Amino acid sequence: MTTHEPAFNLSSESPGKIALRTLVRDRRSWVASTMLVIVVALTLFAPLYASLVSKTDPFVSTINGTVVLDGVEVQVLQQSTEGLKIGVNPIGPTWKIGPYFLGADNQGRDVAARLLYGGTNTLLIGFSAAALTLIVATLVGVIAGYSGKIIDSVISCLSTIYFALSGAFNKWI
Amino acid sequence: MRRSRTLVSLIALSFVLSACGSSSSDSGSDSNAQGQEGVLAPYDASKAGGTLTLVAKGAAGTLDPHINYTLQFWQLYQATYDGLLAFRKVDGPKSFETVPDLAEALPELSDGGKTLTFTLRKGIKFSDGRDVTVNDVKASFERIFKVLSPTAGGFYNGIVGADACLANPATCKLDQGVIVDPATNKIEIKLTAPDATINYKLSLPHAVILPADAPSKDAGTTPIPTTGPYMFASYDPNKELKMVRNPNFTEWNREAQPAGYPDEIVYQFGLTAEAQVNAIKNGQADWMLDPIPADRLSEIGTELPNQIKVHTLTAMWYLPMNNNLAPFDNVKARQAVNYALDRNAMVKIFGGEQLASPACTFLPPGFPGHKDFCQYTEGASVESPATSWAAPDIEKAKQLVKESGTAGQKVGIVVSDDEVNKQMGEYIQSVLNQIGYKATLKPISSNIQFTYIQNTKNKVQISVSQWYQDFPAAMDFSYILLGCESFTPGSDSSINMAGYCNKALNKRMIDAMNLAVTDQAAADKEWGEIDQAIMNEAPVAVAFTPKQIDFLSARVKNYNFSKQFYMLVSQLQLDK
Repeated sequence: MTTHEPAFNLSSESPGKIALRTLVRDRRSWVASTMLVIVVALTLFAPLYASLVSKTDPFVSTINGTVVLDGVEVQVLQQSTEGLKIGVNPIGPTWKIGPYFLGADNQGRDVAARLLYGGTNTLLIGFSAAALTLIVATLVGVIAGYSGKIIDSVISCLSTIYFALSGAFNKWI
Repeated sequence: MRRSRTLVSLIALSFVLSACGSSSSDSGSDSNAQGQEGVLAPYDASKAGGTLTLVAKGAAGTLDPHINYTLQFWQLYQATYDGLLAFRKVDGPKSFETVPDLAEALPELSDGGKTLTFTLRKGIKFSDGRDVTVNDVKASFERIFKVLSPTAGGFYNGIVGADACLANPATCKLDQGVIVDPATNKIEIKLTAPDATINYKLSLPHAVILPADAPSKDAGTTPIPTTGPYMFASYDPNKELKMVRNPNFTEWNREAQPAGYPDEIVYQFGLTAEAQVNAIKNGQADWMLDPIPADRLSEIGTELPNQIKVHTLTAMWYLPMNNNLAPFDNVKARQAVNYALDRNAMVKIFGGEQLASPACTFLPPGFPGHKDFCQYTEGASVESPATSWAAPDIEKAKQLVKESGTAGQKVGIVVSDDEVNKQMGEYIQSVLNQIGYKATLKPISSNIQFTYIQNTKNKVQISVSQWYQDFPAAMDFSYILLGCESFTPGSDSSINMAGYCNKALNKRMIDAMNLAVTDQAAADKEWGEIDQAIMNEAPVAVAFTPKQIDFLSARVKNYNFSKQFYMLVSQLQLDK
């Protein structure tokens, strides 16, 4: 009897199933996945947050708007009351579920709502970049793999040059 | 003759009366440690020296004093260039008065007020060592037209021969309008009609005296020799402007052109307003041009109140709308913008009620001719105006946009790229989107924004701009900014940015200017009526009346505020 794993798996399990099993067993991947799901969910629900929770339009300036805090109506942008009494300050975080959870910006807009809307765009950009890279890389790989030796060599050479000079190249473009 | 003498006396009286401009009081702390208001303290050479550092986000375009029309550089021209007359360089209301500068005395009037006779002072030199002569005077007045000065048509069109010069600027000759005699040093300026504001116009940078061989085109970044205590040593609009002492300057009239204290004045460009505030707090700069971001005002107003000076102004922030380009070639679209603007919101962006007041009229409060009215507030209308602005009326604005048929159109808002102007632009974008347009914000460098929005080739639909009085007369606002003669399509010098030209109202403005010669009070009343008639057509949207906030470093002393040209840069003393 041997005590070590065979050099390669001779079972009929697919690579996908192997990957899934490894993922399920790894606690760190659970945490990361959960966080990702929460972020995506929050950003997808940005319009609901704006209409049901913050009850403000994050794209409309409300410089002269007011909000009720602890039963008191206060200005979203408040006149300074110290020194020469010049300048206005946006309301800070209320830390209460409702309008201006994270405070207001200098246009009187809800920061939390805008953060979620901004998250949507950020995720979209990130996923799009990853998807585009995957498609292009797969295409290039397939062409390299199925073409003749010369084309494969050229693609390989260009890739090597790019990776070697990628820092400078990215700055140039 | 008797009638002419009476007319001349009335004209002379009107000069004096119109020299006593705004009566508004300053709410800040003026400090002229050495003297009293209205009197500049005697020069103290022991306080001279040092390099004064001014900072701004951008430069102000051309250095040519006959062309530049910005407060930023007009402040510098006070210490560099001179005209036949000048505004008294003192603190307070006396700064509206005109005094002799290169001329020995105020003009003698004759021919019913149509001829002004001056005698040029002897012994004054340009910074390159050449004497100032009467030939330089004549050439300078001709140059105003040759270089297409933005006020050639508005201010100096009353000089005999100006009509031909406006039609053919390149070959301008004022042989009948500016008559000089080198033997006696006399200068006669002949007008087509008496002008109650001519002394003011002769005191402005657009009428300063330059060498006769100054280029007949925009000098751009090339300094032209000066007569004042400073000269321009170098100018890079992307980096820095440097002024040094004029070695050929000797003080001839302290009221007109006082000797300066700093040895050098350096104007650095490129810092954001936030960075400018930090630079002053850290002692790396002495004064900043750009509006202080509202979120820093509270901080410096609390920590450094003694370094802040606040003054009321006769000025406005406003939105010129292109009356010849969709959607604002439609009066209902323009009125919609006026109804939609929350002027209190814009006041907050500027820094709050201590620093600005909502405005609805084209002539600012306290200005000659001002009349209280506001068509574009909640509950009011053109037919039934209120006396002042109270609140926006978004629903009425939306209705007007719908009626105009311009809903859904794209609108570009051009603003200067400093923080406060960008925030104003963001707010206006939000408002325009609310009332039915698809608005985009286009911040561009403050170095070029002012001339960019004047040129019709750039197809600017709406912008944010500011106007500070040139002198205390209603025509300086209404006629200069909305008169037909101030609109020059395809030119960077077309100060009537709205492109507004109502011939009937234009005639009324010209009639009011003529009436001012004999009856200032009646003329001012008429200007108020004209203001209301103009605003019924809403060529622009007036937002608010600002105050001037000067934030100075701790080492700056002897601050003087001229109501005409604001902080007197050359009079600042630096602690050693």
